[in-house]
Amino acid sequence: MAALAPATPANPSPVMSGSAFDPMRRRLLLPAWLMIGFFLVLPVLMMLVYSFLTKEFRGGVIWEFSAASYDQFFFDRGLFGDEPARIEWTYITIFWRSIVQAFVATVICLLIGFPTAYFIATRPDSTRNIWLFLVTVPYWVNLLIRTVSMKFLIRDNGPLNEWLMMAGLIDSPIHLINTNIAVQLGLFYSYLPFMVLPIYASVERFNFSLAEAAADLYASRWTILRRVILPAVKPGIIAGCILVFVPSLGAFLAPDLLGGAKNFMIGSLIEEQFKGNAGNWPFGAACSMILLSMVLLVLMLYARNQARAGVQ
Amino acid sequence: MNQSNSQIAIGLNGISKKYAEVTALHDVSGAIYDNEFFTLLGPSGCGKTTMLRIIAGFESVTSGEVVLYGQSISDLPANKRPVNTVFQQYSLFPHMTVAENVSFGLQMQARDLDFTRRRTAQMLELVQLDSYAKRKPAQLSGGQQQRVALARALAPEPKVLLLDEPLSALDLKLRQSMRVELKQIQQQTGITFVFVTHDQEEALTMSDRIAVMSEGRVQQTGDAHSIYTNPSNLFVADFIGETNKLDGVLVDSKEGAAVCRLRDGTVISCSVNRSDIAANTNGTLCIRPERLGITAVDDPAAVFGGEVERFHFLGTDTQVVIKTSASDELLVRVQNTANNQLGLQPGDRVGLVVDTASAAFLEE
Repeated sequence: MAALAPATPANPSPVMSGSAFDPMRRRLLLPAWLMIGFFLVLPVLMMLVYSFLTKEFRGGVIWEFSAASYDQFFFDRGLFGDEPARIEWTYITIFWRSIVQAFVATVICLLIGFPTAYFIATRPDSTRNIWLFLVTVPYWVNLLIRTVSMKFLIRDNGPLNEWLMMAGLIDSPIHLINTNIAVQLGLFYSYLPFMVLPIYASVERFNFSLAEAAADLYASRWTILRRVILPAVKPGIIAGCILVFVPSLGAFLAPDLLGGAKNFMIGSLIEEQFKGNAGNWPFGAACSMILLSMVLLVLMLYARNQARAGVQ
Repeated sequence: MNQSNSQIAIGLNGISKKYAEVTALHDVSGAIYDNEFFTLLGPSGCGKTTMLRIIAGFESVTSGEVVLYGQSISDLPANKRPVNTVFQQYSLFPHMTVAENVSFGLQMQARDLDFTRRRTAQMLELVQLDSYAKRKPAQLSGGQQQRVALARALAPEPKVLLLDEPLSALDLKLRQSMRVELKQIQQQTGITFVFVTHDQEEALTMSDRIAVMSEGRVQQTGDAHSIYTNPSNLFVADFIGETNKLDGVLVDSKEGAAVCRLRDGTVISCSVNRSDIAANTNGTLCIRPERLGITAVDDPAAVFGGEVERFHFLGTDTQVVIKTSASDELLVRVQNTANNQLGLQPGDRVGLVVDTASAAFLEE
């Protein structure tokens, strides 16, 4: 054996050499790929498959191809399915309402979130982290509990109305629960930090000597904000808007608990299809796929827009 | 230049600036004249940039007043002051093209569109960047960005242009050519320039007048020549150029002519910047290295004797370090010319000559 030792080649080339590095890197990425595969790609594929299956009455599916779910979403063929197809507005209305709600929630989050983020980013280093911490404090409590508390706060005889009446600002309670305003409040409260944090990050990186240069060139405060600061922090604003809009669109806790039946949103519609015995799994899956396609479409339009801006 | 006839562009009346812990400026007063290239020169932390930012309106004063062509501007915010700044890091707007950057000030002043277009083109031509109008700042070199910053600040026709170490980020060659260019542009436009730098060479080559600052105070104001040849105190003598500093005592002082005794007993005639310095005052005798001459050790004109320690070849000059009994390291600068072979070796004994006007006694 000892005689063989000199004949064996020296240790393989070090890990960092070009050819040896790539397989190494692939191996290190494996856990991440597995996670994304199992918990993202696979469920979405399952949804896609389910959306083309036939429904079983008490939930579940029959393994038989059918496009009935998509048909049900877009077309109304009468009670027995034998009338000529007309556009089915029920679900499109729910989707449209959700888009409007999510859009309004995003705008409100932006209007409140931008000044908040700007304020935090312009504090001295020593106090900045305290402010950031305060913004994220609500996240230490579960979303369900926060939403239920909100319901309690804005009830007709809840603390909010009591305080307002005590302060003499109103005579009778404002009816908030089961209104759009309540849903907005819930969405706003749930997703505000998603707006604040990315904007904070971009304002914090903003070079304030640019604002000084603009002031030196006779720009007013408002013009400085519009012409110099906003263009520079635009990526943060867009990221914040996406992070608020997308989950707002699919939200079901706030619409369910605060909005009531009149303010039904996509999230609740999908949730219904998988709950209890009344559900329709293929239809829920189809709604999810339509929602997913819409979100992807928006993101792709944004990405294309960005790519075009980058070329210029 | 007869300054008493010139209009005062910027009057500084007793400006003080105190931060929580430190005082950046101590009661600074002075005048910057119309059409002047004025430089604030000093080491970092001397208050020169604070002074510039106060004139621009980015910092408020603790006390005192800034007067621009006869009008107090202390209470005006930066965007209402008819002065523009060229920033150290240029601070160009990254999302705007070169032309948009240059026209920004004109747009803010809501100037006529036609005028704005013409003026922008004219400014780009002035800094030789006409073909770069549509580029973004990130696509330009440091020197080009510097020119855009200059064009941007000049476009709104400011009454005074403030420049905050604008050349410090450029490499040496570019810095030297920009010096010439800046000076030309100042003369061409006739705008008063207030230039901040820590680089004495920059200050000496470009300025009409220089204010040397240290620790929040103006140490001396004057043209390059007078500051170099007649420094009013030890700081100025030391900061501008090289100086041999020799401890000494003033023995006798009469109108202009004075005599000083060095620590080894050498007696040397010198000049004083004030005639009222009393005899027996301790101080420092300052002699510029290029004002010392090397001669034979037994030359009767020699005031010092010493031993050659070493040489530093500096290109145009050679610096000779000489050990004398009055100073361990006396620097002498000898110009390198074709027929000037020093012919000295370390260890050689030499004599040194200096004339009265070149040896300045500064009290402590």
